[in-house]
Amino acid sequence: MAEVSEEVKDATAKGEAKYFFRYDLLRIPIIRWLFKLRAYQFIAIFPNFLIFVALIYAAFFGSPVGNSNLTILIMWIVWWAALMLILVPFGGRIWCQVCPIPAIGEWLQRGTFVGVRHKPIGLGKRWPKKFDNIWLQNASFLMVSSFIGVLVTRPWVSGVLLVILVIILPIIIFLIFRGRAFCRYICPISGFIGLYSMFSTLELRVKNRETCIKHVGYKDCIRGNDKGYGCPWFEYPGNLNRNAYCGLCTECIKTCPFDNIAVNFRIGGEDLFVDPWYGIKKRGLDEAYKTFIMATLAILYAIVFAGAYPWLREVSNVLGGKVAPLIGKAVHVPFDKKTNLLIEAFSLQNYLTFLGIILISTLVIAPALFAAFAYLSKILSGRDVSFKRVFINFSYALVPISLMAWGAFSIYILLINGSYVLRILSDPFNLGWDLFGTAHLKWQPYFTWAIPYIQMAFIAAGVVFSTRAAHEISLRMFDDKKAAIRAAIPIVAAVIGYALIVIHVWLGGGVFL
Amino acid sequence: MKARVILLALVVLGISVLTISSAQGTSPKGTIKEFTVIAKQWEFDPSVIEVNQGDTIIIRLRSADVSHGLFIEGYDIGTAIITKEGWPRERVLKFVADKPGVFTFRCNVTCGPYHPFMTGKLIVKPNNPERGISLFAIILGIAVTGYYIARR
Repeated sequence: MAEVSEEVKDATAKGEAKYFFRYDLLRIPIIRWLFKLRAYQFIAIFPNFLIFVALIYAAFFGSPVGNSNLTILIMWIVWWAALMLILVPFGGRIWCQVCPIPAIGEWLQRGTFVGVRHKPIGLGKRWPKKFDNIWLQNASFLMVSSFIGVLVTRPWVSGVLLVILVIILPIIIFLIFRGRAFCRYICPISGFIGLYSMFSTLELRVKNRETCIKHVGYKDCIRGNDKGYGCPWFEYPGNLNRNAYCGLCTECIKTCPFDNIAVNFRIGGEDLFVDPWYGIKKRGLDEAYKTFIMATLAILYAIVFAGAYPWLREVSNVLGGKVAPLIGKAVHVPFDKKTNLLIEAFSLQNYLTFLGIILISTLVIAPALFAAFAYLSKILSGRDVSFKRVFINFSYALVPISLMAWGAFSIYILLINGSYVLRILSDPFNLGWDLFGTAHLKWQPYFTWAIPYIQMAFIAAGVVFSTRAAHEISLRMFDDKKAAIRAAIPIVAAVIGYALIVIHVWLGGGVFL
Repeated sequence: MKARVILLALVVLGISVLTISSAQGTSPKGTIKEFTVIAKQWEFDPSVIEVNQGDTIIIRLRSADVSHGLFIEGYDIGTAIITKEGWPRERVLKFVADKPGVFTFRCNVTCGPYHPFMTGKLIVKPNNPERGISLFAIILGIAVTGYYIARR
């Protein structure tokens, strides 16, 4: 056993995060048994895999009407709302644990569904170091966002996305690169889940970091052993102090020879306030921009999909063909499958306009506005800290409020469109079934009177958590408390400004002009 | 002296609260406002309707292309226009805008791919005279209390 240096001891002590409450779920026997079970990942992923296969089928062979199609309703209402309202805030990357998107790729790469084979099928290359960041995920998310209008209304478009995400990309990436490079660096969903998981109530950490440090030589959690694979997300559990890139895949729980892994339910934690420990990956502009992208799109989507700007909706509709005028006669029910699929032409003009709006708002306007507040912070602090550091570190203060803005968006979408979901569950493939007696349910929004209050509760909570984050980040960045408070003031102002915009979009009608 | 100030503050606060609650509780008399709303894939024209609290609203819904509807969230009322031979070319929705706020109205008849996002906004402005009086009462209360505290 190696001696632990003073420097490492000091870092370990510094890294001990503050918690209001923390409980290791692996102390619950059934969870411990499940997570240590070799077949657990397969058992957790396979049912979801079957659901996704059904979604791909329904996308191409179900109803072409978005609000009567299983794929659209499950993907963009149920799944999205579940992610933003429950899975990410309470489970962090728990979705990644059961996600079927990389399943085919991973099964192919490993050459087995359950067992352990350390010689991967394929090239087994290392992921290029210059792409060891989430810029590709930012790009893939923006790419998906640029098609969001047609993704949520045209089932076949969602079907194409699913085929790319579930079949084509994973097979290619998993056969070229080792581990879950696809999940960590490319998947558009993984990027924002990673960002928001830092605010979640679930974490995977080592119980005692010194145990890891003293264990020199062969690291089972990194390289794997007969019980499991080395971390497919390229993390060293001993260094975990943020949830961002731990996919909760449970491999390290299986491989750790010292039973040193905990899966904590927590209240508190410092993921948003700190730099990663000793990792190659540091907090950087890639993560900061992910925050701006998510914060901006939470507002933009609300304006596009529930606002009073028809022109904006129009440009988001990149398959801009309006059914009736194009076929030259009055159409009462414009869902003739053939005509609907054939006459909708891709509108390059709409696409470029909407793409421009997305790129400029997320990559230029939002960062520029935040930079102004960050610069003010630097000035007010009176300390010699680089502007880039202030800009990047404080960007994490926007994580809670933007997640809550997504909560406000998701609860609205869920309550307004939930009855469509109840209807489709009775007849998922539009075959005339009525499994639960809800097949003929008419559209009915639920609790419309309560929606504004729920949304405001989300935003109020976001302001509180983001203000706390701004203060904590500031305390870690500046050497005295007074400077830290002075520096945090502009960031809190930015948080409140953002909250006011979200409130205006939802409660003020979002009429800006 | 201190007790008098507290008593006065409580009285003024009580009057303010009563004024506000009575302002919200009464049904203010408004005017009749009529709008012709043209529904077309996938927008309403006009897409923003502004009225005052207490106004009686008459919305005449017409369609420029296919079947459409108009449902007002929060008020949970709606109507629909079906573009079939022999069906009315116009439907009328009449109600009293008794709740202030901004309400989304949306199409409630599946009318094309973008149907779920065919929305507009109904802005019901609060009854300003009564709100003004309430605000005046609150400011007066604060001013009087402040005066007594300052004198003391």
